[in-house]
Amino acid sequence: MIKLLFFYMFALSSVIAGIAIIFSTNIVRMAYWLIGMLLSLAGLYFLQGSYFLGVIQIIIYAGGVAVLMVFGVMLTSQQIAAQLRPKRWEVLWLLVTAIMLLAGIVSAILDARWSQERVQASNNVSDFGIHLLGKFLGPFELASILLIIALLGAAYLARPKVPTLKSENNPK
Amino acid sequence: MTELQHYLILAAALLVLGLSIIISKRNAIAILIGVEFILNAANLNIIAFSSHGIGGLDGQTAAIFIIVIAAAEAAVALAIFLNFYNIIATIDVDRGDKLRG
Amino acid sequence: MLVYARKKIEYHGRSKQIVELGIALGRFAGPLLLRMAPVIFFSAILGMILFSWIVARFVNPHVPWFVRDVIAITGIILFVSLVAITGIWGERKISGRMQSRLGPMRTGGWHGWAQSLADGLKFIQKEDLIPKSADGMMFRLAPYITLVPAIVAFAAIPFGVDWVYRNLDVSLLFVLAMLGIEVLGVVLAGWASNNKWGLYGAMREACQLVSYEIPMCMSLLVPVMTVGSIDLIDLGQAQTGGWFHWLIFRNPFIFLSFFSYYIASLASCKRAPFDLPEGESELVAGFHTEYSGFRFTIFFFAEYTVMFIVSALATIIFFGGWNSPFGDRTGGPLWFIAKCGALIFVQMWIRWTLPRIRIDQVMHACVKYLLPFTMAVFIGSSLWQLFVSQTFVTFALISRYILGTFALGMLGILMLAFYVVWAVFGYMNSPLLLGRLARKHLPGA
Repeated sequence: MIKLLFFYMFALSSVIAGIAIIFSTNIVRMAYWLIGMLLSLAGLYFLQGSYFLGVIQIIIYAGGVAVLMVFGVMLTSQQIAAQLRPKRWEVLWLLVTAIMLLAGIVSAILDARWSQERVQASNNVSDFGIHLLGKFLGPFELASILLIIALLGAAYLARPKVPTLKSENNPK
Repeated sequence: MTELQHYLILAAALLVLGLSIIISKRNAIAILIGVEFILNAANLNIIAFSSHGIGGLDGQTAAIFIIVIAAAEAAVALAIFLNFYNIIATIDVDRGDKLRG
Repeated sequence: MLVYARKKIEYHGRSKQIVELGIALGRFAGPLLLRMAPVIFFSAILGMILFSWIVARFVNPHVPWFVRDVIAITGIILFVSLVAITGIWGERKISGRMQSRLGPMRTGGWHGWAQSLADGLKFIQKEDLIPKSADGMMFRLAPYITLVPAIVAFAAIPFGVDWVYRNLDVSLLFVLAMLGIEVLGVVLAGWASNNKWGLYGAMREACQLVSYEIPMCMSLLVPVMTVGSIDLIDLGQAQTGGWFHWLIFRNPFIFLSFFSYYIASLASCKRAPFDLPEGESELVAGFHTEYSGFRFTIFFFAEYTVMFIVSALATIIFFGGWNSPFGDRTGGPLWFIAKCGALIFVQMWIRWTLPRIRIDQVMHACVKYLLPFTMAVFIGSSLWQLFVSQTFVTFALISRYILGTFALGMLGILMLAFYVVWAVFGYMNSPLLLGRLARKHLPGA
C-alpha cells in the first residue's frame, strides 16, 4: 500500500517532468526538469530494492550527464528565442501520435504473459561485481574501450580552434 | 494489473514522452533531453523485469551498461552541438539544413 | 545617505490593543530573554538529548514506524543545524587565533559563543532581494538544491554501530552521490542570478567540483578494496581494537590515499585553497553574489554540512569511525564527533594558512598531479592485496620474494646513490657552502 503510494508519487513526478519539458520555453528549466525526472527514476530504483543501481543513476546521470547538459545549455543559449511554445495544431498532432503509440504499447503489455518461473535476483553488491566481471566481462571491457573512445572523441571535437586566415569560399 | 505492469506502463509513458520531446523541439539540447528520456525508460523497463524475478541479475547489469553508453553518447553529442553552435551561431536544428560546412 | 522612511501604520480597536500588548510584553521580555539566552540555549540542547533518550528507551518499541522516522529526521536536521552553527563560530575563533587575534568575544558572554545565532538573526531580518531580470523560480530553487542533498546524506552515515538512520549496503556510494548533486545547485545559482561574474564563478566551481570527484571517489576505493565492502558500518567494524587497527595504518597505500582523499575533499567542499568560487577579491562572492539574507545562510549551512560529511567519511573509512583509539568498548557517537571535529579543525587550519590557487592551477593540480597519484596508489593497493593475500599463495610468495628482494635492493642502491650525490655536491660546492655558513658569523654580515 505504502509501496504503491510511493510508486505513484515518483511516477507522477517523472511524467509531470516530461510534460513540463514539452510545454516549457526556457532551456535551462528543461534541463532541470530532466534532473527531476532522473531523481524520480532513482527513487523508483530504490523502491524496487536495487540500491546500487539507484546510487549509480544519481552519480552518473544526475551528477554527470545532467551537469554536462546544463553546461551545454549555458554555453549555447545566448539568444533567448530559440524555442517557442508549440502551436496548438502541433500539440494536437503530438497528442494523437502519442496516444496511439501509448495505446499500442500498453495493450501489448497488458496482454502479454510473462514466464511464471520467478528467480529472485539478489541485490547484493558483491554478487553484482562477480556478475559484472564474470558473465559480463566482454561487455565490461568493451564499455571501457567505448568510454575511452568517447573521451578522446569529445575532447578532440571540442578542442579550441585557432582561427586561420582563409578565404570564405574555401570549404574545410 | 500486477506491479510489474505498473512499471512497464510507466516506462512506456516515459518512452512516448521522450519521443514527443524529440519531435516537438527545435533546440538541439532539448532533443538530447528527449533521448535521455527514452534511454531512462528502457532502463526502467529492464530493471523492473530484473527486480520482479525475470532474468535474474542480468537486468541490472545491462542497466549499468545502458547508463555508461548514455553518458558517452551525451558527451559526444554535446561536443558535436558545440561545434554546430560555433559554425552556425545558433542551436536551432532547423538551421542545420546545409550539407556543407 | 538615503534614509528609508516607513509609513507609520495606525491601528484601531482590537488590533490596537493586541499591538500594544505585544509591545509591552516585548519591552518586558526582550532583555530578560537576552539575559537568559545561554540558559535557554543549553537547556534546549540538554532537553533534546534527554527527550531523545527517553523516546529511544521507553517509547521506541511501541511507536509506529513513521513517527519514529519523523523523530529521527527531526534529530538529523537539528544535528545538522548544530554542526553548522558550531562550525561558523569555530571558524571565526580558530581563524582569529591563527591570525594572532581573539575572534568574537562579546556576543553571549563567554568567548562569543552566540555569534552564529546573532549572525543568523541578522540574516533573517535582511531584505529578500531578487534581481528583476533573474529567473525567479530557479533563483529561489538553487539554495535548496545545494542544501537538501547535504542533509539527505546524513541518512546513511553511521555515528555508531546502531546509530544510523538507514543501513544501506551501498551507503558510501549514497553519500558520494549526494555530494555529486551539489554541483547542480551551484551552477543554477550562478545562472539564475543573471550576473556575469556569478556565472563565471559557477562555471569554475562546477568544473572544480566535478573534476575533483574523480580522485575523491578513486582514493576512497582503496580502503574499500582492502575491506571488501561499500557498507560504512562494515568499514567501521573492520577497525575495532585500537588505533593500530585503523585502516590508515594497515596498508601503506591507504595511508597515501588518505592524503589524496583529503585534498580532493577540500576541493569538493569549496574550501581553501580551492575556494576560488567564493574568491572575494576577484568575483565579489562568486556564484552566491546575488544571494542575501536567508538564502545566503542556506549556502553557508550547506558548506559546513558538506565539510562535516566529508570529515565523517574520512573518519569512518580511515580513522576507525566510532571505535575508540584505546581499544576499549567506549566507542560510540562521541568518539565519532570528536574525530570529525579534529578533521574539521585541520580543514580550517589549512584554509587560514594557504593562499588561494587560480582555476587553471586547480585543474592542473587535479589532472596532472592528483589523478595520476591516485591511480598509482590504486594500482599499488591492488598489487599489495595480491602480495599479501591468502588466496593466491604461490603468487604471493613469488611476488614477495622477487619484489621484496628487488625492492629492498633498489632501495639500498637508491640510498647509496643519494648519499654519494649529496657528498659530491657538498665537496664540490664547499667554498660556497662554507662561505654561506661562516659568513653570517663574520662581522658585517
